Amino acid sequence: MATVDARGLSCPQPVILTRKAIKAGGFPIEVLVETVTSRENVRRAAEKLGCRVDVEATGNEFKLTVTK
Amino acid sequence: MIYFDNAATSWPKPPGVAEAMVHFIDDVGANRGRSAHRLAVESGRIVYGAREAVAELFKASDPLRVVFGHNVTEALNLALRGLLHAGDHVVTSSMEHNSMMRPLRALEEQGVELTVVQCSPEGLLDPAGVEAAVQSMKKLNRDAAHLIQQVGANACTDITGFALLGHGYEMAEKSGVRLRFHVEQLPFVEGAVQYADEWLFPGGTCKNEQAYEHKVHFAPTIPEEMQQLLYTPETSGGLLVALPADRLTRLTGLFADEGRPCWIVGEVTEGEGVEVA
Repeated sequence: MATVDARGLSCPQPVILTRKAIKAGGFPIEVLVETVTSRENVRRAAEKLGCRVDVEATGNEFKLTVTK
Repeated sequence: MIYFDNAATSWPKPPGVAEAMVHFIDDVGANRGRSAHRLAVESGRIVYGAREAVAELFKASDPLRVVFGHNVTEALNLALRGLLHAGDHVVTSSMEHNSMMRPLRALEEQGVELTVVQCSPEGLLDPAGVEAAVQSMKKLNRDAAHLIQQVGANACTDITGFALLGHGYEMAEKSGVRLRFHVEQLPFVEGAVQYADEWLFPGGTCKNEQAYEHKVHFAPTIPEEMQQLLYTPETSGGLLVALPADRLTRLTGLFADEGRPCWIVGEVTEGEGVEVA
């Protein structure tokens, strides 16, 4: 289980951090973001790496759970 | 993961650091520049010695041009905010510390153009990517503009923050025409298409898409990654020029003679908006 806190970071930082975590393994990976843009970019990038992504809205933020 | 906390902070300190601090507190104590009493002069000597050592390290010609900050974060903010103005370009890497990125992002909001060169997931920077990006950004539009003026054009725009599609739309809209780009004719900087395939887009891509998507039509064969790439902000994306077809050969000939790049990327048609075929 790994957590990527990408809140407050501008794209493509959230994507880069998520990709790093995916390459390191350690699923499931939880990614926290604050904007729709970041949410969509992280989701697409993770799916491109063959992962499954579940998205949960938590208040003003989003939590993406990435699994292999 | 193990956090070594040895970049912003380091411990233990080199020998002599603790002694120098104790010496100052116990035996010197005064602020430099406060009159010419013995302790103030000694304090001044210590600071000036540090100034000279820093100048020596960086091979600076004048120790008086060394500025001491409270810490690296403050010093970076002083340097960046003091140096940069709207219209300046900054090239940095995607691995920078917050103390670099946050002031740069704040300055970006004020009109400083920022290129972040992507590092691999392993944290490595491809120098070829940096070199290509820097060379592309350093190229002034001035020379291309002079060549275009020799031939004459109907319209011209630079390609920057609104990307090819945004600036292309603005030009089309003001002229009451439609632009059609042919995707296979579009030039890309080394690495761009690969990064697009990995879905590494800046936040500005999304903003441009939201602003222009209703004015842009993509052929169904164009992959989403390519669509995003064409919405991606440019720091210095060259000039897009529209001119009568009978002057095309003269223009490309002029550019070839001068050894300057020039690509034919599409045509102007009746209608409105932008089409990517």
